[in-house]
Amino acid sequence: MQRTCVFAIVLAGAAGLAGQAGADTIDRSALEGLFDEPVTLSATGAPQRVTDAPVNMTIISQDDIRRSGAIDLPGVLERLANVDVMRTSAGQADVSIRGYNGTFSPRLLVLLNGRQVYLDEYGMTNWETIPVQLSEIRQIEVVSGPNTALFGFNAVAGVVNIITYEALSDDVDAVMVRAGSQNYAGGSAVWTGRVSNDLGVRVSLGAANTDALPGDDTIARAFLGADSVDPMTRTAAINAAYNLNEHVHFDLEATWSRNEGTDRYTTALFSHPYETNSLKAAVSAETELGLVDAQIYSNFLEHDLENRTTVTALSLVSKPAPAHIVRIAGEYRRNSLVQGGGELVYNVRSLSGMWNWQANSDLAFTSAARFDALDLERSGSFISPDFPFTNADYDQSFTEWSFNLGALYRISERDALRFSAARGVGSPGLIEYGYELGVTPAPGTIFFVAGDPSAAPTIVYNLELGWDHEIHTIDGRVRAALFWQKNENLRSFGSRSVVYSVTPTFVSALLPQPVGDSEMGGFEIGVEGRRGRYVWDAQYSWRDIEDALTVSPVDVETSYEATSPEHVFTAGVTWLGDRFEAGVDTRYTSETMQYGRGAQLIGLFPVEAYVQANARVAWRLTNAVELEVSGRNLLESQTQTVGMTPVERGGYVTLRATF
Amino acid sequence: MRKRLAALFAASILLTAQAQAATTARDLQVIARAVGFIDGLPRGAVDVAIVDGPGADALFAALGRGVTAGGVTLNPRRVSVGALASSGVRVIIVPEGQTASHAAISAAAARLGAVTLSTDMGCVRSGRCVVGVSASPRVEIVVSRAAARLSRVSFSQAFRVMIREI
Repeated sequence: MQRTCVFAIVLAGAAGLAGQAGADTIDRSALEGLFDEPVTLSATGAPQRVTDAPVNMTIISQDDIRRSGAIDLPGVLERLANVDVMRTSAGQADVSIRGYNGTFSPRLLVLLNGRQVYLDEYGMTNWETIPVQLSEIRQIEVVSGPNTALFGFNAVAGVVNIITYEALSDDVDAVMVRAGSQNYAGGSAVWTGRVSNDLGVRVSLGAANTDALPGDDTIARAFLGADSVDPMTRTAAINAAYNLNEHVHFDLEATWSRNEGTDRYTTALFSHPYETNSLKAAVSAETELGLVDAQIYSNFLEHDLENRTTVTALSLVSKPAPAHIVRIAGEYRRNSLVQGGGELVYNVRSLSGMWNWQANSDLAFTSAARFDALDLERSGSFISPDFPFTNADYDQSFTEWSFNLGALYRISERDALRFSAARGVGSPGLIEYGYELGVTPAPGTIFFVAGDPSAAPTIVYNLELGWDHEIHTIDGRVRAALFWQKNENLRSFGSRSVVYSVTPTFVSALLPQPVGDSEMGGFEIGVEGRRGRYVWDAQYSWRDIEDALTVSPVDVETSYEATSPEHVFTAGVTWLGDRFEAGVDTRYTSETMQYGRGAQLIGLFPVEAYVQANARVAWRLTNAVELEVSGRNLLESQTQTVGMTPVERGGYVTLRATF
Repeated sequence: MRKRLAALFAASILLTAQAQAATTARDLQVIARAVGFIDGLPRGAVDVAIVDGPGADALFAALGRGVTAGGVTLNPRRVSVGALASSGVRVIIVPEGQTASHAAISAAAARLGAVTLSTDMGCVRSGRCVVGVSASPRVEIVVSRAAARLSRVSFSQAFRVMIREI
């Protein structure tokens, strides 16, 4: 497999370049200090206070991350009751919001400073390949529900936008080393340097190794004939920020990551390493018209196949009248998948708009819409002359539109109501269009696992009513949401068997299948507060999913109502001392059916309701150095959370220095 | 009856004084941070005119030895309304309770090209002050476009998008 990766970034001029949801180069430190609350671009693409966001958004701050004691991003997200984390093996975690999770979960769009780190190859996120260290994250913005009118395809369950500190305005220097059970060894380093008043650089490095779990080896031996690959991750990133003048800001970023391990995707196991790299250039300019953001980035993934994603985007946020904010944006995306002698490409041209109207001091309306036109094409040879499709079959195109409507009504100084309606679009992953795998089980017989060039997107409708209530006596708030969601044209890969010829060669193929629709109603409530030295929170999430699916007999796993937990409850408390911190958090998940059991890879098996508990104690040895002992899944030595490998009890010792 | 009226009068004076002292240290921190978003004003130490008159003493008391926030330090000095136009400052803080002077302050600010900031939202609503600030219970910032235009003051675009303009 070709390992070289050459990026050719052409900057289209100083005033020209931006991002998926804006280049994200606002001065968050200054704005957050001014408004005394987090600031986000992830709701509408315009800078907003999080309490003004017309979507259901949770901000996970750096303090939250540190106090969680989590050692990876899924572990941080798992503290939210409406986020589902499926740990299928020691190195694989799939994350979704409000159910519908699965291996290689395609429904959650994940971004790093507005750059997509979701991998379009399979249409999933490998969290271990994200080139960011927990210590350099300013905040994680979690949007629940579709937001494709802003972010484009695949932001259907929600969006996770990871925002790092800024190289120019935030001075973050940190070193961390960690050791733990399952022979875990890891570390990270983040350095920020101010070259001049207008030029800053941040470099971050990370590494982690751990053993595969005994259960991982059992499955791998049965299906791959070898032990599972011990998970290993290496990441590196460099970011430079430059202020040309008071009104023009540049950002450059280069990243690299490598991840090894054994992954499960539906009924298959892989031990292909992931190697990613990316290059990004962005410029943000304050003009007479408004905020102009431009961005170009190229992501390269070498995994099972080779995937390059190049995105060019330009946006303008303007306030033409006192009560009106508008955003217009255009984006061009080229996505290619190289497999053997063939290359599959899709190009997406997008146009989007947002209008925010502050009707009065208490009531605001937001409308956003986006059109995406996708053209698919393929060139080159196939793995076999018997392959059931020709290049001409891939000349497909579709146009999809999405919208987000929101209203925010401040009933009083303490209460706000949010209403939102959305239509989101989930595009098939590249392999769902054009995968090619051929097997010859007997002479005269050839069997393919293939993508389907006519695969159609999933459409998600969402209605939501939210209520936020500030409680000054506990220095906290209550947040509740009632929602309904409909998913149309859900897909299952490799679940449709088609026979293309019988003689002279028997040719059959296993293809993606549209399996039907599914509806969900749900309710969430959370309360958080601070009293003296105690910081605490509790959240409850309820979802009732009803599938209307027609699955083939070979697909024994596609059942969202069975695999999604109905009830999730989380609670946590942290005591903050001058030099000592201690915290514990728990998570209850109701019973589900999950994929596989032991060495049985195929089938749904019951998983009983379970409770997981994590704990952390930390001592600040000096002003700069902290020693932390943390444990996860402390109530049991093993907990069956997914169908296959149980999650094991883990303990970690971390030494962290911040300068 | 006279005693009752006297008591009522005294109470009203007290309430007025409390209202005039409404500008808090937290308000002033928000004012300092807001100054950081004004185009053309360098961060660091900024000379600020506190308009002398009702409320000025309370505002000076809230300022203490000065307020630093968001990279901006407010260096205050007391300036009478009549002396404002020749003060040379770019930032004017208008204490509460000076409604009668708003027109004169606005005219002086326009001549100076200075921004006027106040916790008196009435001053902003009438188009005499550029920026109105309220820090509690939730930070609220209101900008009068008319007053800003008159004083030739502009703000960063991100700031404009996030505050309320009238």
